Amino acid sequence: MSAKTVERISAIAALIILLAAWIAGGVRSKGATLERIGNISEEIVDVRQVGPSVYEGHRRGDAGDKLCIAVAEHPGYGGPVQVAVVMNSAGIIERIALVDTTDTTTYVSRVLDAAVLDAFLGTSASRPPKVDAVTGATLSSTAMIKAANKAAAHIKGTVGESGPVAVSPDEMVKAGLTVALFLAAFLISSRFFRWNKTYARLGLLTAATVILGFLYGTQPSLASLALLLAGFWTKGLASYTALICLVLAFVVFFATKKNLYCAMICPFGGLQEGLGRITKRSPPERTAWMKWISRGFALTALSAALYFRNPSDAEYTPFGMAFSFIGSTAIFALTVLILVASLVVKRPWCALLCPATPVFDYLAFMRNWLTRGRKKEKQS
Amino acid sequence: MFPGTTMLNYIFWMVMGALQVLIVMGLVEWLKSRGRKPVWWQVALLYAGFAFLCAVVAGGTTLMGEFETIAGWYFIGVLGLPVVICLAIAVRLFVMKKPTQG
Repeated sequence: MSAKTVERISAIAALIILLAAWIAGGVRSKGATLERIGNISEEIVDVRQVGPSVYEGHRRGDAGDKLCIAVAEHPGYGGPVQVAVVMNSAGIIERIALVDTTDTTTYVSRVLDAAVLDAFLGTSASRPPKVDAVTGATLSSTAMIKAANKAAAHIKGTVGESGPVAVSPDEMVKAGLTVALFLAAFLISSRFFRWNKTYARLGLLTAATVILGFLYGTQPSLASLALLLAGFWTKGLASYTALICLVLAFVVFFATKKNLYCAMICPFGGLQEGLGRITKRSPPERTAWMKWISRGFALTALSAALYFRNPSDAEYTPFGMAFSFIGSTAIFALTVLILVASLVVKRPWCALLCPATPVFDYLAFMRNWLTRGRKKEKQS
Repeated sequence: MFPGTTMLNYIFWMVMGALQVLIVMGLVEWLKSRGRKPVWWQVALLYAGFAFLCAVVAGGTTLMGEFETIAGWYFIGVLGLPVVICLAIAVRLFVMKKPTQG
C-alpha cells in the first residue's frame, strides 16, 4: 500500500471519526440537563419539566414541600454557561449550581473559588443580589451571574425575550486588530509588496505576538476549532476574536494556498522563533513519525472535545499558559519545556505537537485531492 | 540546614564556594581554550547568571521542603526560564561570536 493511499484512507477515516464523535456527543448530551439537575442535591427528587427551562420537584420525604428549579444560560468566553437555581415555596433561593460550561477550567475554578454563585443563596427572585465580576475571569463570571439572574427570572415568570448579546467595545477593537493583522499578512505575501519581505514578516510576527499574545491573550487553539465545529458560537459568545482569527486563517489559506497564520501571525510561533533567533537554531527535519504523532494528538483531542461537548477539556496547547498563565500544572511543565527547547531547535512545538500543522496539512491534502480529480475530469 | 550537627553547615558552604569557583573559572578557561578571552565584566556576568540559577533552584527546593511542591516547581519554571534565556544570550554573545586573534 503506497504512502498516498495510506494518507487518503486516513483522511477519510479522520472525517468519519469526527462525525461519529459529534453524533455520539449529541446523543450523550440529550437528557443530560435533567440528570444534572437531579445531581444538584440528593434532597430533590421526582424532578419533571413544567415549562421552558423550569422544572419542579419536591424535597425527599415530603411530597408537599415543592421545589422549583430553573435553568438558564448566558454566553461565556467559550460558549454558553448554564446555571441552575433551586427555589423553595417561600421564593427563597436554596441552592444554586453551575450545570454546564465550555469555558476553560482555570477560569471557571477561579470564579467558583471566589464564591460568586454563593451570593445568590438566601435571596429572593424579586431582589437579585448585586455581584461583582471576578478580576481575571470577567467574561466567565459575568456569564454565570447573568445566567443565575435569568434562572431566577424564569421562576418568577418575568424573563423577557433574550436578544443577541452585545459585544463590548474592547472585543470590537480586538476583532478589528485581528483583521488588520491578516490584511497585513496578505499584503506582505502578495506580489505587490516591493520591500524586504523577511523583515516585514518578522515585524508582523512581533506585532502579532505582542498584540494577540501578551496584550490580549487571544490566540486560536484546538478549543476554538472544536467551538467552530460543535456550533457553540451560534448560541452567542462573549468574545469572538479567537474564532475570527481561526476563520480568517482558513480563508487566507484557501485564497493564497499558503499558511500565512503560522508563518506571520501565530503568537506562540513568534515566541519560539524569537528564542530560536538568540541561538540561531535551524528547524528540525519533519519526519514521518513527527507528522503522525501531531495528527494523532489533534484527532484524539478534537474527537474528545466534540464527544464531551466541552472544547476546553481537550485543550493541550500551551498558548494560554505562555501568555496568560492559564492552564494546569502539566501544561505549565510542557510550556517551560517547549520554550527551553526553542533555544535548541527552531519552533519545536510547531514541528512536533501543534494541532494547527495537521489541520492545515489536512485541508491542503483534501484540496489537492479534490482539485486533482476535477482537473483529470476536465482533461478527459 | 543540618540539625544535630556542628561541622556539616560549614563544610557544605565551603564545598558550595569551591564548586562555584570551579564551574565559573572552568567555563572561563574553556572559553580561553576555544580562542575567546572574556574580559572581567563578562566573567562577572557569567557568575551572576550562575548565582541567580542557584538561587532559583534554592528557592524552589525550599518551597518543596515547606510542603509546597507545586509552588516550588512553578517558582523554578517561572524564574528559571528567564535565567536560561539570559544565559543563552550570553553564550550567543561570548561563545558564538568570531574568536579573537592571538
